[in-house]
Amino acid sequence: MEGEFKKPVKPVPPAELKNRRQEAQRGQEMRRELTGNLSADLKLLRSLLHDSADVVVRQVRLPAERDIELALIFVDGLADKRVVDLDVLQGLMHLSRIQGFLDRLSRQNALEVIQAHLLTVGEIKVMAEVDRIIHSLLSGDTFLMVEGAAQGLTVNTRGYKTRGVQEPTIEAVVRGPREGFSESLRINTSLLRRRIKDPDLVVEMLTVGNRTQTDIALVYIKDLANPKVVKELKERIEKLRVDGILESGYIEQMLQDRSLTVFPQMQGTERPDKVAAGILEGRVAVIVDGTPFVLLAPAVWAQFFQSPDDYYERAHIATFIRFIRLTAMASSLLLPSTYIALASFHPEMLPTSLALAMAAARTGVPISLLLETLLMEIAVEVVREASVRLPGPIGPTVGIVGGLILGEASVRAGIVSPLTVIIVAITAIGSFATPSYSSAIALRLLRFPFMFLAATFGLIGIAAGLVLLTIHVASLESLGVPYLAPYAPYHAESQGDAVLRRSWPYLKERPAFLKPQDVERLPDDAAKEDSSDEQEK
Amino acid sequence: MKPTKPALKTLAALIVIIFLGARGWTSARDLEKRSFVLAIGFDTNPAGGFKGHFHIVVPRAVTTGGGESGGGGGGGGGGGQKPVLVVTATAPSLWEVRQAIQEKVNNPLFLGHLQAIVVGEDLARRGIRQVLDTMLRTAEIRRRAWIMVAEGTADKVLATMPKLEPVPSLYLARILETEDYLRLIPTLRLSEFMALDSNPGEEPVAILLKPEKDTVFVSGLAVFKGDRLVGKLNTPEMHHFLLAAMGRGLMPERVASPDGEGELVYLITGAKRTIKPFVQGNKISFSVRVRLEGNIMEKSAVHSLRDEEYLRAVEAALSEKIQRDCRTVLRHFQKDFRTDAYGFGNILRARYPKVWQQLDWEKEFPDVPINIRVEAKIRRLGMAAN
Amino acid sequence: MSKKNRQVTAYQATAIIANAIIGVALLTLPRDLARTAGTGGYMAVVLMGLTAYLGLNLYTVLGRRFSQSTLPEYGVKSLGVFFGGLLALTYAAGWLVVTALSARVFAEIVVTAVLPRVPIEVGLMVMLLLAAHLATQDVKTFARVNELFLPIIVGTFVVLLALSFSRVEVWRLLPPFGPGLREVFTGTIEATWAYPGFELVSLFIPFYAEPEKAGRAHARALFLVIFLYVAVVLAATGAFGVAELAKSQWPTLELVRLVGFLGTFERLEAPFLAVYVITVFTTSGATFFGAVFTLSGLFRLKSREGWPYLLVIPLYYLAIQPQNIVELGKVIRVFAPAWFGFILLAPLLVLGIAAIRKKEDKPDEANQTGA
Repeated sequence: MEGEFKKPVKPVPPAELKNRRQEAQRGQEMRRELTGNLSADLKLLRSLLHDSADVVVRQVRLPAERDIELALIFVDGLADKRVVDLDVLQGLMHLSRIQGFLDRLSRQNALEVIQAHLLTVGEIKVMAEVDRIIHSLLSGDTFLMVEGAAQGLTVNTRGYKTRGVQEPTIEAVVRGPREGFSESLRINTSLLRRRIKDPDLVVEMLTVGNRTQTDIALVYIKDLANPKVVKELKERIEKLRVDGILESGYIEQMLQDRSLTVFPQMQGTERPDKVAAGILEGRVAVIVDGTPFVLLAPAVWAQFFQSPDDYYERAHIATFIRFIRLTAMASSLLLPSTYIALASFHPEMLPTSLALAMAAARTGVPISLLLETLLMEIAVEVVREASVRLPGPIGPTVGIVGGLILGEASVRAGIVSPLTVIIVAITAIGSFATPSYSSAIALRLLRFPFMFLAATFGLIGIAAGLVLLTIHVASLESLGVPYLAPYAPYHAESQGDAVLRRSWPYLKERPAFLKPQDVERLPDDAAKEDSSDEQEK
Repeated sequence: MKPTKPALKTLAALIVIIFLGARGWTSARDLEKRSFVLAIGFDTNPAGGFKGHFHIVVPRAVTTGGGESGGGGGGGGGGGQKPVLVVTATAPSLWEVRQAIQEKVNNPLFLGHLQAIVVGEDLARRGIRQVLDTMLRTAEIRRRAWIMVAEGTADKVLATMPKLEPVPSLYLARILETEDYLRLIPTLRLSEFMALDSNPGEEPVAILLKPEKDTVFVSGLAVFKGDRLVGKLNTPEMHHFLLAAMGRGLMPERVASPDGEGELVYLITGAKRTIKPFVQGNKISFSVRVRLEGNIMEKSAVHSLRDEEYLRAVEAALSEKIQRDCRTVLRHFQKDFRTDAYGFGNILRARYPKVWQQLDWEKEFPDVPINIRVEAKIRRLGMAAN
Repeated sequence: MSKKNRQVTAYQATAIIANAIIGVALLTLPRDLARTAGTGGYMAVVLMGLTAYLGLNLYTVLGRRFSQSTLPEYGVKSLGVFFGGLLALTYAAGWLVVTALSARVFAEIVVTAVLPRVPIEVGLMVMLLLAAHLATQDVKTFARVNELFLPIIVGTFVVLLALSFSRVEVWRLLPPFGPGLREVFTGTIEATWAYPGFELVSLFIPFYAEPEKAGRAHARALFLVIFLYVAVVLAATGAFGVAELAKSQWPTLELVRLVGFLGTFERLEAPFLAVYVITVFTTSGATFFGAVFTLSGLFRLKSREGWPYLLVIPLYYLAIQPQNIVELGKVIRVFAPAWFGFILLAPLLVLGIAAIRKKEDKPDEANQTGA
C-alpha cells in the first residue's frame, strides 16, 4: 500500500500520509460487504483481525436435521462470556430445538428467526458492512453469521472487565456524593442518567481515532444547552484526525481555541455530580471511553476555584471558602515573587523589625535570594512529583523526608533562610488548596516567570507581569464564551454564583454568559412566590 | 480560533532579553547586603559644615533567640555585641557627610527604614533648611520618620543606649510615638514638620530630647521660626502651649482645694480648642476657647466631691489656673519668640484671605490681641465616689 | 470595517473612558493646581471636568449620528478623504504623543522613587512594550482588560484616600474659593493634562452592545474621574497645605508616603507604583490602541498584529527627547492645552460639516434583532 505514495510530487508530512492511507483503506472496506459464503466471510474477518489470538470463532450447526451452519465470532476479554454462553449459545442450541421454533426455522429465514425468537439479549443489530462489524467486534460485541446470508447479527455482549464506581481520588469533597466516574463510558453515562431523569438529556455518540476508534459521548440537555455550542463542539470533534484518543486530555487539547496558554479551556472532572450540575447549567459534557475524566465545555476561569461541595454547604460558608481558595491561588502565584521583590527591592516596605530579622536570618546564606527561592520552589515541585509517582504507601514518606527533614536541615546548615522555607511552604499549600488540579498546576508554572520579573523590576515587574497575564486571560475564549465571564464581560445577574454564592432559593437563573436556551432555573411562579414572602435581593 | 500570535512570542523573547541583561543594573540588593540606618543626627561642625551621626544596625545582634540559623555570635541584644554602631563624619554638606560615612561602612547605606532624625541644638539655631530640603529630595527617606531636637548636641542623644529597647534608634522613635499615642504632643513626623515649615501662618515645633546616662527623655519643646530654633519650652509650658494650640497635652493638672485644705489632681482626658479670628477694620484679634474634660484622679483635699457646689468651685479654680498658664505661654510666643506656632495666621488666611494678603504676619503677630479662655469640666471621679 | 461586533457593554464603555482619562496627570495634578489656583484647585478640576464632559457629549452625539463608523471613518464621510484622513492622522499622532509622554512621566517617577538604578530607557521601553501589546489586541479583549482594571485602580485610590483622611487639616483647605477666580481659571489650564482620553470613545461607540445607554455610561465615567480628581486634590491640599504642595515633585506619591497600612506596612510607594503601572498602562495602552486602530483603519491594514511593536521605536525616541524633568514638564504644559483644545474643537467641526452636508449613517438594523 505504501507503494501508492512512493513518489510524491512534493513531500507530504508523515501524518498526512498516514491519514490518506487510512482513508484509502477505509474506503476499500466500506465497499466490502459480506458475501454470504460463511467460510469466506469468516476468513475475511479473521484476516482483517490478523488472526489475533484473542479472536474466538465458534462454529455451530443448528439443529442437526436442518443443518444450518452458523458462526459466532467475538473477542475474548471484551465480550462477556456468560452472555455469550447463556444467552446466545444456549438460545441457539437449546431453544431452537423446541418444536415451534424448529418448524419456522429454515436456511432462508434463519437470521430473522434467530433474531426474533432465539437470542435472549437486549441489543441486536443487523449488519453487512465489514468495517462496522469489525468495529463492533472490537467494542465487545459478538457477531453471528449464517451460511448463505449476506448479513449477520451483532449481538451486544459487551462485558469487559472495568473498575467499578469508586470514590474519586483527586477531587475530594467534605460533603457530597462519594461516587466517581470510572473508565467505562456506559457506566459514566448511567451515572449521569441516574442524576438527571430528563427525557431531554441527550447522549450523542461519536467515534474518534483512526486506530483506537474511541467512543465519545456528548451529553447535554436538548432544550437547555446552547445549540451553537453543541454544534461547534460536534463539528470540532468530527473534524479531529488522530490515530488515537487515550484520555480526555487529548480531546481537551485538540479542541481548545488557543493552544499557547497554560489555562485549561475545558474542565476535566471525575465527579458525576459536578458534571450533572454543569449539564443543568447548559454546558455540554464530553465523555471519553477509557477514562474517568469527563470534560465540561464551555469552561470559564471562575469554575476552577469552585468545588461541588460549595453548593452543598450553606451559602455564607461556601462564599467564605471561595475567598480562601482565591487567596490560596493568589499566594501560589504571587507569594514567592512578592517575597523576592520585597526582600531585594523594597525592604523599606517591611516593618522595621521584620526587615532586621530577615537580614539577620539571611546573613551567611551563600546564595542570592532569587536563587535561594528558585531552588526551594523547584525542590518542592520535585518532592510533589516524587510523591505522586511513588506507590501509595511510600508516597507520604517522601513528603516527610523532603519537606521536614530537608527543609529543617538546610535551614540549620545555613544554606537557606527560614523565611524562604516558610514562603515556599505557604506557596505549596496554597497551590494544593486549588480544587482543580489543572488550574493549580498552571498557576504553579506561572509563578516562575513572575519570580524572574520580580527579580528584575521588583513589584513593578510583578505588576507588569499581571498586566500581561490579564491581557492574555481576557483574550481567551472557550467555545465562544469569554474565559473571564462573568467578570469580564461583567454580568450582574451571574454574580450570584461566581466568587459569591447566593443561597439556592436566590439562584434563580442559570449563568447567562453560557447563553443557555432557558435562563430561568426556578420556574417563574415559584420565583414570584419566593420574592413575595422572602426579602428581595 | 486563531493560532498563537507571533507578537506574543516576540514579547516573550524581549522580556527574556531584558531580564538577562538586567541583573547588572537592577536596583536589586538583597536586604542583608544593606546597612540599615535607623536614626541619623546632625550637628554643626565648629570648623564649618555639618557633623553627621548615623545609627547603623547590626541585624545579627538585634534578633534575640533567632540565632538558630548560624553560629550564635553576639546572641541577644544585651549581650556582647552592640546592636547599633554610631558612625560619625564631618563634611560641608549633608550628602558629603553621607558619602563619608558610606566610606566607613562595608555595605551600601540604606535609609529606607530611617526612624528618627535628631537635630542638635546648635544646628537648629543656625537653621535646618538644608536638612529638610535633602530629606524631601531623597525618595528613600520615610516621610513618617520622627524629627526631634537634641538639647545640646545630637551625638549625645544618639550615643545613649537605652535598656528598654534592643535598638536605641527604635527607642527614640517609640518615645515620640508614645507621646503621640497618649495625646501629649501632636504628631510630629518629618512630614508634619515640613508642612508646618512651608505653609505661611504656621510655624513648626519639635520635641526636645535630653540625654541622660542610660536613657533619653522628653525635656520640652523646641520652638521654631521658619527653619530656625528660636526658643525652648519646658514640659509644663509645652503642655499649656499644646492645649491652646492643638488640643493636645493631656497631662495632669494640680490645683489647691478651694476650701484651702489639701490639693486635687485633675487628669485631662479630652481637650477641644476653637480659634476664632475677628477682623474689624484694620484691627485683627483672636479668641481662643479651650474646653477641657477630665477626671479627678487623686486628692489630698478632705471635702467630699459629691458636693456639687464644691465641684463647681474646683472647676473654676482649675479653669483659672490653666487659663493663666496658657496665657503666660502665649505671651512667650508673642513677645519672646515672636513666632506663630499656634497657627493663628493660617486660620486668618483661611477665613479672611483678602486681609491676609495685605498683611505682614510676622510683624503683626506679636501685637495681635489674643484672648484665651479655658473651661475645665470635671466629668468623673475615677473608681471612687467621694 | 462596516460590520462591527457589537459586544462592548455599557460598563466596559465606562471603564474604557475612565481608565483612559486617569493617568500620569494624577501624580502631579495637586501640585500644579496648588501652584496656580491655591486652595481653589479642586474648582479648576471640576470646571475642566465639565468642559471635558461637554466634549465627551460631542463625541456621543457624533457616535449616534454615525452609528456604524469610528472616528476615522466618519471623518472621511463628512470631510472627504483628504481632510478626513488628515483629521484621523492628527488624532493618531496626538495619541502617540500622549502615549510617549505618559510612558516618560511614568518612567521618571519609577526611577526617582523605587528603582533608582534602573536606567530610564528600560522603564520607558517596558511601558511602551506593554502598551504596544495591548494595542495588538482586538476590541473585546481591550474592553475586558479595561473593565477588570477599573475596580483595581479606583479601589487603590479609595484606599489611599481613606488612609490619608485623618491627615487632612481642614484649615488648609480654606478659603474654599482659592485666591480668586482668575487663579482658578489659570488652574484649569494645568488641568488640561488631566482630562484627555475621553476622545477615545469615538473609536468604540460603533462597537457598543447597547448604544442607547452610551450617554449614561459616558457620564458615569467622567463623573467618576472628576470625583477621584477632586478627592485626591483635596486630600493632598489638606494634608500638606498649598505651600508645601507646591514644593513637591510628585505630590500624590507624597500622599502615599504619608500613610502606613494596618500598622504594619510602613511604606506603600512600591505597591502604589505597582498599581500605578496598571493606571498608566490603561492610559498609554488605550491611546496606543487608538492610534494603531486609527492607522490600521486609515491604511486599510487587515491585521493589527506585529507592526504596532515597530511603532515603539519612534515613540521611544519621542519620549526620550526632553532632557530633564523640568523640560518634560514644559513640554507637557505646551502640549496639553493644545491637545485638549483640539479634541474639543475637532468633533464640533466634524459635526457642523456633517450637519451641513447631511451625512449620517443609517440606523443599525442588525442591532435591533441581534444580541
